[in-house]
Amino acid sequence: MPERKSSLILALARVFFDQASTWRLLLFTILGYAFSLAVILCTLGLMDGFSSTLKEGLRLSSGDAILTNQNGFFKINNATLEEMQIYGVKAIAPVVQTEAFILHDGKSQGVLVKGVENEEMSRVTGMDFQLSEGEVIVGETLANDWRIKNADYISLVLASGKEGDLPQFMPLTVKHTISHGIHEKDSRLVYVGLDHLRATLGIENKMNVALLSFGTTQVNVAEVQERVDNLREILGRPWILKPAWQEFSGLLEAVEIEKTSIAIVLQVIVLVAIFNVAAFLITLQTRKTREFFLLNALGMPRKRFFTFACSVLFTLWLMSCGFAYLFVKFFNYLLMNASWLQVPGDVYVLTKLQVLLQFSDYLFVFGCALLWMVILGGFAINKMQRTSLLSGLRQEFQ
Amino acid sequence: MNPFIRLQAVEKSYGSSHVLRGINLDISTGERIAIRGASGSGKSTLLYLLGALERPNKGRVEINGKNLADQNDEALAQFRNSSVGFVFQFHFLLPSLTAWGNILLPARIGGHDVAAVEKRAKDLAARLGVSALLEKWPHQLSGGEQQRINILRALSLNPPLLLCDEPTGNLDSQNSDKVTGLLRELVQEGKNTLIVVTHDDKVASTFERKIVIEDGQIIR
Repeated sequence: MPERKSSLILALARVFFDQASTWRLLLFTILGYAFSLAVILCTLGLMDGFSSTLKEGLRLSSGDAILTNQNGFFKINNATLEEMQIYGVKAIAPVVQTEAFILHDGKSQGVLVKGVENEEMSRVTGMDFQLSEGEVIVGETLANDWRIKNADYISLVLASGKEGDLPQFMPLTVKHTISHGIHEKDSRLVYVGLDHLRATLGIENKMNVALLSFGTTQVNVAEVQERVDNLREILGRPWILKPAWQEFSGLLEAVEIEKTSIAIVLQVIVLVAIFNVAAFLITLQTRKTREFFLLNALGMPRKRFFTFACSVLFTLWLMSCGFAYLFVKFFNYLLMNASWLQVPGDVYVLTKLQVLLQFSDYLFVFGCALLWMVILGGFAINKMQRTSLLSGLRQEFQ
Repeated sequence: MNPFIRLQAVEKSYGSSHVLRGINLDISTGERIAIRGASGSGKSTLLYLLGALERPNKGRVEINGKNLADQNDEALAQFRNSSVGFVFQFHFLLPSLTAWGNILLPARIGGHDVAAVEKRAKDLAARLGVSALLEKWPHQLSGGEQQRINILRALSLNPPLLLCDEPTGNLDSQNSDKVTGLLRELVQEGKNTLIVVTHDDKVASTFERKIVIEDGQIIR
């Protein structure tokens, strides 16, 4: 019996796809539909990729959350430390953060200097810090702009904390450069040893920023936000606790809102592509109506024909999804590797964009495409269903 | 004993146009009948009702005691496939299949034993003189050849009922005689019931029973 079924399917396929032009039309319909789906996926993926890369980049410089104090410099006592641990804080990196001028090769520029402890900073950010006294890590963009290489000498000029004192001068050797993937961070941040900076500024065992990690392996916005909210409530004033992405929260929120509205607007592209599918169906219907009615007259139930038509549509949809997936991967590859697709970091915040899509994104886009297909296919099938067999035969053969 | 086909008070209309009005007809197994009438008299509609291509608006169309109006679309399709052979005026061969592909189409649609049908079809092809045409495409065949392939397809499953709508309408007189003769010969051997709609008096005269339809009613 399966052999008989397959021979009927083959005969049907031969009847309905007998002309090379039908195959060509089918191929271009699939490619057109796939391209439209890929455009939507890439747009959504770029936005997701932007949010994700930004958050990951911020995590590399600031961990999950940033703790400061209204009074400026502070120490964390044991009671506060215990409370933080109870609320899920797994690691704390003390940081002294100050603004300074960097001097190199006769040039100068304002930078943000972070004094960090190697072990704690590595634990909180996941990056490798191995600073010794007299060494500095420089942001990658800054290093590239200034042609700073490893083992070069630079100087930092820091303001003194006391009125009338001269600026403090820190001669340093470049240990290596560092990339956060965020243009602003890579062009402004330099890292020095915490003790060295404290000694230079005359601050004993204090910090003005503490970076916290909740020990999550990936940035989970909702989870981190909840933990930060809970901990903020417990700590109370004068503590100020913010998620690491707080400084870009407006941007991230805008991207999220844009993502939804663009997804809706981009349905227009699917609509245009669906016209191609409609053209394919109309052509097939026009060319093959006589075959449909004759097969029906010879004993093929309409239900079986409609099952065949639905299978063709489903295959068309499935292949379009497959090609769309490949197009997205190819675009992402180009985005990551082709120099002509690199974005200007000062405009887009990030130095590199990538397409990042979740299963739900594919589900949404492919689901909408399937819905359009069902509506269109249902319409075409319903039209044929309403025509009586005899009038169909007469109309088509006489 | 019930007749093979029984029509009781059958009416058929399309919109406001009444095509058949109260048709009553009994047909026995193996009968050969010619239906005649002017254009638009309803003879083709009657034939299509018998072949379950259409449903009546009123009345009963019974074949072997089963009322076709009570059957669903799938059952009617199955009935058309295994119990009815159609020979249409316009040959209705699918251009995308060879003559052989067209002949085997009903067997493939109905899930029949294709090998057995192939054997029968080859025998019939030899009888109809079309053995050399089986691998040809419909556009490579003449009108008479196409009609013989059409007859071969209709008889490939040896259906108990063979319905022909103007089978010689498009043929010259020589081909027309040949096709009619072959049809009669084949159904006689297969004991099929043959109902033919025709304008042609000469064709009709060769049938034992003749029915004349006028304005949707059987007048004799």
